[in-house]
Amino acid sequence: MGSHIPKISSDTVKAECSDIYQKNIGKIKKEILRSIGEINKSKPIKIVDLQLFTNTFYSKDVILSFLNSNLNNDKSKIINGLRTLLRDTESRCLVNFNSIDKLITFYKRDKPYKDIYNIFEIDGLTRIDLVDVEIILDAHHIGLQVAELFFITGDYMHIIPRRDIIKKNTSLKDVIGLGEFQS
Amino acid sequence: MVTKPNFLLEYTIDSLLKTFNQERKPVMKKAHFFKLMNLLDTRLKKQGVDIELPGYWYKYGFYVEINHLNSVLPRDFNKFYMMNEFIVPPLNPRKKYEILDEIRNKIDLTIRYLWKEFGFKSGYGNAVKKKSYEINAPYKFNSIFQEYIDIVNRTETGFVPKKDLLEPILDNLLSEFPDKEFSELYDTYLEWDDTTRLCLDLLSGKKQYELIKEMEELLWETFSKGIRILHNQNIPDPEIIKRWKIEYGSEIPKTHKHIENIRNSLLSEKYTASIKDEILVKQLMKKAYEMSVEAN
Repeated sequence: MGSHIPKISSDTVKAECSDIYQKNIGKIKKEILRSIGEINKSKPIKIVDLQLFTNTFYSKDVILSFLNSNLNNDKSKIINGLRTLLRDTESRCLVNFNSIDKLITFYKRDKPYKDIYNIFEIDGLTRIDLVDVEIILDAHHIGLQVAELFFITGDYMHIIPRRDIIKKNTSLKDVIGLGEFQS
Repeated sequence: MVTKPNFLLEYTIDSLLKTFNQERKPVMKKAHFFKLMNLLDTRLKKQGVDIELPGYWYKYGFYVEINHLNSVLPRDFNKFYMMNEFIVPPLNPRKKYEILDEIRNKIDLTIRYLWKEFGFKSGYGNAVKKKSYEINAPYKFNSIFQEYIDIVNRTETGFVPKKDLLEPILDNLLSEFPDKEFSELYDTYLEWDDTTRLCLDLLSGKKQYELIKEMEELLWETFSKGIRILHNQNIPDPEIIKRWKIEYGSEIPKTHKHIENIRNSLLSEKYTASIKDEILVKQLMKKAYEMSVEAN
């Protein structure tokens, strides 16, 4: 992110990122707030019960690790500590999201590129995930204006397996997975 | 046995209003009438008399819709019993109601007790509301929330900051939220609770008052739309309850989004991270990232 290479994206990607961010952080928020509700009701706090309660939570390890290191504190201190942990996480994510927003130039596509769309219709991707096709078309649109555009993606299910078809039919120089990308 | 139209209810209302307001003055507020009717109805039911009063629990306690009374009473309620915003006895009460003497006596006697308890006493409206909550509030949460609304609305709290007055009530609310009955609203409520506390932590003065008030109305409106679905009686048309269910279902995501927007603004513009549990914060962020990778 700190490199001087221009970073470009599209409004579709921005909207999807914002949705994913809200969804993922929303899940963690829900889990921590539910844990607070549960701790508030339990008297006294039993770590075994909370292990069971958080069993299916993504953030289970973090919640339990926090509880284990705060077991000597009273209930209200534990609850306030969890509230701070959640708020710190959310605020950090918001700061990151806003920083990325400032670093990236977002383009709006104004052409349908029907010929490329048809290729992905035959390929089946339009049926599987239409938003992914929209993103490929957005990238192609930008690629016509920016020389040697690399398409960096974290979508290993739909986009990375279609690397060749994308390279062959769009203006993009290459498709690189987020894990393999080093600026 | 209740007839259609409901003469038993008509007699009960006429008798109550005649006792409480013999001179037909504009003194009884709608809200007070509803609460009196709720108490009367409860006490009559205990004696085996069901007047089939239509009503439901809403924002400020037991509520009766005038339209529902119009549907079940022999005469239009708003034409015969209302003087602007006040409830008054009808000008020409019915002479014959076709009600058994035994039932009539039970009704009159219960009304006389109600009159002794509340009639002509200063602040009787609040006393009736308190009693109605005491006896019939569906959940403790409802009663505590009334206390919460009272403090939120106070413009002057003396030397005590609002945060110090509201936080203990928020703690009580958190212990009493009926999460089994309102599981669909629970996550929204928890986010409301934490965001309200955030607001108390980060804002002060007029800005704090306005946002706390906005938040209070937001949750209470939605919760009340849910509570009337579970706690209602003698609603004249089943379609009404179906409409309530649709309204409540569509209200929850809107309310949640609204709270989320307020929360994000507060966190972006006013919050300073504590840097207390930095390692755990990073682990949580990693979890959020991994969720996207897993989903893909």
